[in-house]
Amino acid sequence: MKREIEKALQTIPVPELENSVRAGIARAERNGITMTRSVKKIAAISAAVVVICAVAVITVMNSRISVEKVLNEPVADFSPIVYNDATEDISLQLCGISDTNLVVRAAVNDAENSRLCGLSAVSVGNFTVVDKDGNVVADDEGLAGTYQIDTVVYKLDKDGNVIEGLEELHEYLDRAGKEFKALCDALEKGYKLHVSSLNGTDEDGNPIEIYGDWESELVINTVLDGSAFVADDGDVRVEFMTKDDGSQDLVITMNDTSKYPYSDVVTIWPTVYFTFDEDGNMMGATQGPPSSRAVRGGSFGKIFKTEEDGQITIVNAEYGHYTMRIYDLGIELANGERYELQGFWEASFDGNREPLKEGETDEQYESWKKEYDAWVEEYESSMSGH
Amino acid sequence: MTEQLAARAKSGDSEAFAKLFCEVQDELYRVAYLYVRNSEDAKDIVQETAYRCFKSIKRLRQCEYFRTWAVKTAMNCALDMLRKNRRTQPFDDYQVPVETVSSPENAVLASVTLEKLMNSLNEREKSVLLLKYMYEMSFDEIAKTLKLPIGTVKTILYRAVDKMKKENSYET
Repeated sequence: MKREIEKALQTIPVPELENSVRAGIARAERNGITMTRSVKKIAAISAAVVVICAVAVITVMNSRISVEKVLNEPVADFSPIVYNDATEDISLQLCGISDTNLVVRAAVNDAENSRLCGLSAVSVGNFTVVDKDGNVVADDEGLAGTYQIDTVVYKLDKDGNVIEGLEELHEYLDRAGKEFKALCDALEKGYKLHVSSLNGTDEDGNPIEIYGDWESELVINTVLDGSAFVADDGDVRVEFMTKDDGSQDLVITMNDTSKYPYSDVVTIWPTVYFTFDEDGNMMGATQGPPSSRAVRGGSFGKIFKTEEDGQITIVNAEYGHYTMRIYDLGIELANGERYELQGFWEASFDGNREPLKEGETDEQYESWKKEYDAWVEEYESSMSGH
Repeated sequence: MTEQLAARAKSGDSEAFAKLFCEVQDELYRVAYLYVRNSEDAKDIVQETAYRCFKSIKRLRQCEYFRTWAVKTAMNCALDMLRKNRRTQPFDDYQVPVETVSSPENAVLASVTLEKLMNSLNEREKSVLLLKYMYEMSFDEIAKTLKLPIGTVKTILYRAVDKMKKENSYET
């Protein structure tokens, strides 16, 4: 396999890279203006642009007008901690976790500033995320951290309002804000985001880089007691069920099939769900309806199937010990009808396959590994022509 | 020699860093190309990788891991770019150079393999596959590098290999 990959990579012709490398080093030495291709296009790598940018940055840093309307809408109920930079030109907000991304929201406070007026999009540039113990869990260097900054670009209008990119978050907060807040109160994790640059785009699509010093904190505290293995609110039952082969599936059962005719279900989605490992670390989170016939994101279920006995099975695709929490379920039937089931369900799952402790064996894991090794061997044989 | 260069680079010697980086730049470009599928973006990634690596080489504890560290950084840069741009260039801007193809059989194998790497696998699968086979990392190392559960890494690899295998059998 290594040989094949190397061979494949070798077929990619490499252009002259010295200038790119030199530019990268020079940028690091300056620790300043971006010299990527896109910037080069508009700036023609000229010192004049550097000067203009510097002047503009100074202008940005020296101006201040408070615009709270963006920040105080539905997110206020979410109780994030918002920090502005020293000049209050731009606010950054660590709003929550979506999939494995920390969601960051940027708002322009200075709507009158000529430079910021032209800012039509903002995304996070240099950043560091630390957990409550001060450990760096994500940054813009290497592949550190489980969580990465969501790089969805937020488009802003001239007043600093978000006009694109946060609709989903708004919907999410409107529908589940209180529940999420309750969850936040109970979680045990905290993250602090420090940002030292923002990448912006002006109305003409030209990149702008803004430097500052922003810090935002997200505190989520939950203690998992692991006691709720099955959840049942009368209408819906959520549980992990062990199959004959020892693996487990997340199963959602419609208790009242006259109300929710499971056999017609074509889509099911959790409005919000979170998965945790056995230490209570969040493994994944998602919200909102999926775009297709699947439960998206996180560690669980890419596929589901309806069973004759009224159960909808979200096939477990991972190994390990997880607890899943679901806030609200949505169901779409074949005839297009949709049902929203309000509730909170929690179920724990112990695949007992990973991680294995040193010297410990597990029959299922061994079986899986055997199958995996056989596949790899067969594949490598086929690739090597044997 | 590499370690000497790395030691000098860590002390801020940009020339030493440039020489050190020169040893891996082609490889970084090719890895980047796998993700972004076009030369200009791949060059930008090399530049960004040089920037990030030089900026933080002081934090590199063991110089012998410079290559792996640089590759991981390049992968991260590529993923960042994909997330930012949400776009990739069509595969048709790439042509397998004639001089690297010694026979029709090899040509099929090489191009199919590269195409599969670039088009069949998602970013996660590419990362796991490269780290496992190209850089011969253990599952544990990959899990730590990508901050994924080890079971997930195995599953991803399993699926990636399966995908490539299926495509290979389908095409042959």
